[in-house]
Amino acid sequence: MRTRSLCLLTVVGLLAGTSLSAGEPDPLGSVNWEGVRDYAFGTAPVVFDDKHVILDVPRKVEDGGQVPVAVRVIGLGDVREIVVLADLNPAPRAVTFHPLLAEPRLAMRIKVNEATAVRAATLTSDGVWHVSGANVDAPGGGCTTASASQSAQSWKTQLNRVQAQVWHRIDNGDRLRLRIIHPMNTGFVTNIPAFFIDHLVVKTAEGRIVAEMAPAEPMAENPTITVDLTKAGSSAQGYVVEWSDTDGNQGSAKIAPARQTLAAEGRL
Amino acid sequence: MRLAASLLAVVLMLTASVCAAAESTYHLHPQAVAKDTYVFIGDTNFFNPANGGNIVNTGFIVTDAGVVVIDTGPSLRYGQEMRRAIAEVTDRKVVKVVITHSHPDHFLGSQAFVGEAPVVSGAATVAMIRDHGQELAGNLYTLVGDVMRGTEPVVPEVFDTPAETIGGHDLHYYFLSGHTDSDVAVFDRTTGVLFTGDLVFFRRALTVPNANIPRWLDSLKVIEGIPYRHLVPGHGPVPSGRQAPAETRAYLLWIDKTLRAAVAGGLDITEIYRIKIPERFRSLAIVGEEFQRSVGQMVPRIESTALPVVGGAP
Repeated sequence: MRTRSLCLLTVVGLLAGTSLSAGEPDPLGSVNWEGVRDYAFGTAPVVFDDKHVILDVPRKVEDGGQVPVAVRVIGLGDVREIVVLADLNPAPRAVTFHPLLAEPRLAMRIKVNEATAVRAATLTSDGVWHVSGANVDAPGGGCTTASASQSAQSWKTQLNRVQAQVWHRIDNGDRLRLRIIHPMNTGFVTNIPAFFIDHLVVKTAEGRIVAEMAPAEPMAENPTITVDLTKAGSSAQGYVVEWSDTDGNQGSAKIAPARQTLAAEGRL
Repeated sequence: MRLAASLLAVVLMLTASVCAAAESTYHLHPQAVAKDTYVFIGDTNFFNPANGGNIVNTGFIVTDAGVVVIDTGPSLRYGQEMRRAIAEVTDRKVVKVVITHSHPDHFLGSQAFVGEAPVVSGAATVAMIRDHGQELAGNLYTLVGDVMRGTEPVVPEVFDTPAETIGGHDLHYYFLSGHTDSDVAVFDRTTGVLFTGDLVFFRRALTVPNANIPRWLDSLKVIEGIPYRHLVPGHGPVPSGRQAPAETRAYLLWIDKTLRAAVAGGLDITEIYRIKIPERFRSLAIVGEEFQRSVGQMVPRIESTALPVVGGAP
């Protein structure tokens, strides 16, 4: 008898759940999915699509301050925008990327504040968001402890140092890797205000904008970013990267053209 | 009534077995490696609740003047059980506790020896435990759970004695580095036993969270120059020959060269994770898991110097 009423309750609960939530249930079972969906996509249609949106993220990390994330979108045609989100971060959006003349893929490291669903989403020209993701187990505090350079004060002398290099991808455009010294303070640590790079563009040396992104609080300290340009977006003259942060600091740096070919991981 | 009595008996039996289990979490059995010298060999897996953090080799030397302990394990409970296991071998007092380095599986059992013997280590280890001991204990609590209860870091005293004789044992201390900023190796010339701490791993993939590889390689040279007869590695079984330092060196050289080549070749960390581990290292315990951890720790460090500076502050 008791078992039966429990079953009934469960069924009623499931039905209620279905009727309350618009769209498909979250395959990751995240408690904050609906909140994140509304925050990131508003009322736009959302589909879970891990066939076309490939998210590469470790399932377990020791350092919630440096979680490697790579997103690849395949077979969706015109990709307008890629967003990376961590459901349980105090500010979930880590970056918004406009590939323009880049391939629809991006790699970087993000902060997660606790074990959370990490998602990649891409907006196609039909106005639909394609979302995939994975649950990442992490220790607490990735967004709410002071960054290493903030603690060491080293960012003050090194702020805005840029390291970058370009490689040829065989039969393809260039790969650009970029590292900018910046504490990327989230504002969620007592007495350390928010201070992070919030805009970054890559141009060819000739001045054509080929990729653009808006990093946010969860982008890891000293952002280290990998962008693959299309053939059309690549330049034999090299590149210029420009960025600005939430304090209005601006920087730019010239990057020499590619001189070597990208290594193949299978050959190392 | 009889039923109640037998139920009570069952409850008592269960309670007794639970208490017995609580008394011995780690089931430490001293393994003799030479005269007067014993080791406790840990699990070769990563920290997990099942091993309670006991992934480490600790040891002790019974001298005429008392017992010298090398490393104290991952928790207060380990330290206490280690102390009891030592008491089953000898009723002599512990006279010295040497901590090889500042990783939590090696020093968090030290509370069990406080008041009985001085706990000593190299200066950089002492500074690390003083400044970050609580964090290290907290991390381990997260990984292994309740078995850590009551564990508090004990800050060792700095020692720099190169050699001393304790109760007829001629002990030499090598103040090396590379696995961490301070790695003490203990060589008992009397028995020929060398405790390397984590400068040597055997049949178990090594760990690099605080490694300085050039210094580690230098330390391996020093270790190979020591006329030891038995080597106790920080992790993995006690080898019968002298091959263990070479095994550690081969893996270190491979991972360093491979990750540097990967960064120089333009690969992102998520691609580097997929590099295949060569056949010759695949028999090392948990090499797949440790390679992933090492990539996460080493690649950002390599990137910070390998990517050319193109602008901004020099």
